[in-house]
Amino acid sequence: MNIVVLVKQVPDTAAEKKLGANLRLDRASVARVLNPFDEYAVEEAIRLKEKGGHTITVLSMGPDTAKEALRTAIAMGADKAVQITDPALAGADLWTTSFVLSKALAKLGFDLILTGMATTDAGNGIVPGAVAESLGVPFLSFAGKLDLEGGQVAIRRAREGGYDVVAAGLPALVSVTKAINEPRYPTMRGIMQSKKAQIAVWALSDIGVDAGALATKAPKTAVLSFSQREARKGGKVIKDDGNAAAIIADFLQEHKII
Amino acid sequence: MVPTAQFYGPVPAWVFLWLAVALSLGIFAYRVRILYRLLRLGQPENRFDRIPDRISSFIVDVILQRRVAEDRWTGMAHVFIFWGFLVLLLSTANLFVEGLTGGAWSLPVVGYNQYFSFLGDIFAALVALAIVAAAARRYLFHPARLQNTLEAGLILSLIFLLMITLFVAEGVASTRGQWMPVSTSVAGLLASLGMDRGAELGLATLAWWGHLLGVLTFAAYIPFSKHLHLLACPVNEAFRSFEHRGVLSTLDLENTETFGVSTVNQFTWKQLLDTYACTECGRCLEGCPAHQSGKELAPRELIHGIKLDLLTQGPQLLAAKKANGSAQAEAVEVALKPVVPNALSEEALWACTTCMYCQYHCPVYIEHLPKIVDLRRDQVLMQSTFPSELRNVFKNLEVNANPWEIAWSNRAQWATDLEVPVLGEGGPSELLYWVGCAGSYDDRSQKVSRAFVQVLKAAGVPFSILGAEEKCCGDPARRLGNEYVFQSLAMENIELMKGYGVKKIVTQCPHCLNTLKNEYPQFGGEFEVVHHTQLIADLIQQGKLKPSAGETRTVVYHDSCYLGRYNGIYDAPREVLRSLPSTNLVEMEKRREKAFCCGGGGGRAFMEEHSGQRINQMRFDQATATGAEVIASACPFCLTMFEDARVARDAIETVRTLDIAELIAASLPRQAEASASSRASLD
Repeated sequence: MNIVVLVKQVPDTAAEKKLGANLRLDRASVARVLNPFDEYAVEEAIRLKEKGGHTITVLSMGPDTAKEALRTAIAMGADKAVQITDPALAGADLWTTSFVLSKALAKLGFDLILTGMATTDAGNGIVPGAVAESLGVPFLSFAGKLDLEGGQVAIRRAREGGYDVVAAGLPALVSVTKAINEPRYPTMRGIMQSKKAQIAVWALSDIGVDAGALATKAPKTAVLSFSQREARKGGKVIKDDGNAAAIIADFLQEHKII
Repeated sequence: MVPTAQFYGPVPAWVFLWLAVALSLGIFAYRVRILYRLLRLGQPENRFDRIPDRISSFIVDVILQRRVAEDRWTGMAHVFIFWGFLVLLLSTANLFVEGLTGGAWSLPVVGYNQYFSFLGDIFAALVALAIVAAAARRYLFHPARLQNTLEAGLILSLIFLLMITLFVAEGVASTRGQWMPVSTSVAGLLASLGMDRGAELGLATLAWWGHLLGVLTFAAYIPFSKHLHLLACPVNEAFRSFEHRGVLSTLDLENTETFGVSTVNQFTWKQLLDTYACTECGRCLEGCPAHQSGKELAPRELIHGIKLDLLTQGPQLLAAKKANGSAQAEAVEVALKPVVPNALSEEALWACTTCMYCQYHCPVYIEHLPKIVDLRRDQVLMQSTFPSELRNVFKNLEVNANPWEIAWSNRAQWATDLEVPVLGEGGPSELLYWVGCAGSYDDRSQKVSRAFVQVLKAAGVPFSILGAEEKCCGDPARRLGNEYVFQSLAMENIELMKGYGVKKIVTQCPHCLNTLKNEYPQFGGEFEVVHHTQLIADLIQQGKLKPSAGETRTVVYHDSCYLGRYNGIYDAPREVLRSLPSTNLVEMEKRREKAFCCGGGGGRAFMEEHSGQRINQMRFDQATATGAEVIASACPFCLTMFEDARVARDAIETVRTLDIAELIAASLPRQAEASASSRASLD
């Protein structure tokens, strides 16, 4: 069975991020990592492979450095990697990304698509659903557990007080949460293999997308402005003279938590 | 007459002796051959270099028993037993020559030599005395580090019996007719019991046979018991390591496919030989922080476990190799159960803080640490199995060059308002101040960095830091078995520093000190590296620093493992502390080479303790038991451990834990007032 995992390279969570004058991220001093949520998706794919001998292809749309994220996934255990990169894609928005990914997926062929529920950079969480919609396949979101049996995929999605079970026939697209597993740390063997791995690089023309047509379309989303988050103020420290519970209750009520 | 000249019917008694010798030697040789073949299952290792050093080390450590004698009383007892053994080996050899030839021959020099007999007698007495003392110690006082196994009891009894039989046989038989202090007294004792000469001679004959057969029994028993150490220890010490003890082996990550040790045959032959040398003395246990705090790790059990693994699984491998050549042997190799968890539990493997107490004090030069790290390397690099807390540590080291999830670009933020020169921005290159991860990112340790900068400036020492270009030295990664992350960091650091022409480095972290100084040369990085206490001691001696302010207080100094046992730096920090006015420096019982670890090394600072006592609290208690109000240390791990213990022991008001740099900074003139306010904020 063909499993494709959609991954993205994002700025490291710990890095200090600044937006430049062009309202784009200043990437100079920012370390790059495989999107943490996608790590969980890659891990889930590998676990399925260990059970059932499927092939895992990781797919990413991104500039040259995106290869690093693809290699990380290969080091974990993915079999093949495909990168879509094209000058016309600089500054692509969610719609463009979803469109391009779905075209690439159509070309690759797939039985199951896995991906993280969101990326840690913009954190919109829209691409998985948009891709599924473009492809016309069922979208099972926020999976905390995944089971594959006889052409059907079933997931558990956490909700208040329990979880829902959602199932669909293949082909389908599943987005995962961090509850689903613990991603493995690559072995040296994996790391060495990832260094030698060949990554297929596709331009827009390879997936039948007219770069010119894309460029003329106005982006459907745009960054208008940004501001730094206020520095965290110190919390309130109270000493318990027997009335701590009351003070805490008042505080929670004041902040409409209870 | 020599008892074997006696005829039993037509058969002279020496026939029986020859048979006994053949049997004993046969068993001995058979077993030793198996042990040797098992050693050959191990991987190659070159311990055949430096022959002159090996010879002199042999003389000092084996003949003169240097490390054994470090433990004064038990050492002395063993020295008697060992030298006695050497002397009596000759006496006994003579007895055998006489016995096997029915009295026709004697050993040249030794036989019929009254001086030698006298010597032998004295030594036999010393041996007997030592055995009695050893038995008393074992069975009356039950020291914690000894296990009273059947084997131990048998060995003590056998040796004692051999001495007694020797006295009786020599004293009564008196074929040499001279006075031997003990034997003659024993003979006199027997005479006074009213035995007639015939009975005496009969007893002596019995004793003679008892002695020789006893020796033969012992000889056959040696390779089956921990007395194997008679053979293994001298050999093990001759093949000891002459590398700096703080250096771990390097791995060729590009060109090899297997990393670390999974099954027992993946150890080198020398690592396996170590396990034969262990006499179960237990000195390693006395200072092991894991063992003393109730964790599953005990160095002696680590070594013993590997030995048992070799003895039980090794023969399978030997049989396969013999039966079928290499193809079958590989299949057997794969089928061998791995050392972890079969001979050593996972908890035990990760409990090691790499403090080096075991290896430093082992009288027979067993190298415990490389075995632990080799096993960790397999777990991390091949299996990807390790405590879950470490996954983020490894990732953080790879992404941000520090073990915490803090951006690499913020590494020099601690120095923002201090006007600290940065090498990459044209700062002076005579001295690089290597801050380290804790000094850069940890709130508590940043205060130490600031204090040290104050000190350097007060002394007028030109220096620079690398700032955001500095990466973790890699020590935690290497100790945890992640040689890949270690080598990436090391090589990047070395390339950077060589690019800047760095020659001399000062650091406040003993782990950085050890790695930069002793391990970076493995990758072409040769730098002169000093610890900040050494630099401060020099500056005080040169008069460039004049500690002048100080409140009266009692300070206890804690020797960090990587500063003390690893790098032999015990005095410089103490000199610095003694230079502080009004400071009364006290010492813990477990100090210097015997210092007890704080629990932070070996990557353990990044892991949870799940059982037993907390190591840092144990050390904190040892420190405060001296009555000191201040615990002085010189390592960011130790500092962190003591700060945690201070909170856990509810001692925030009563005990302060400070780095030596902070103590000096606070004592400098002009700085005293500013430091008083910053000292207040330390609490």
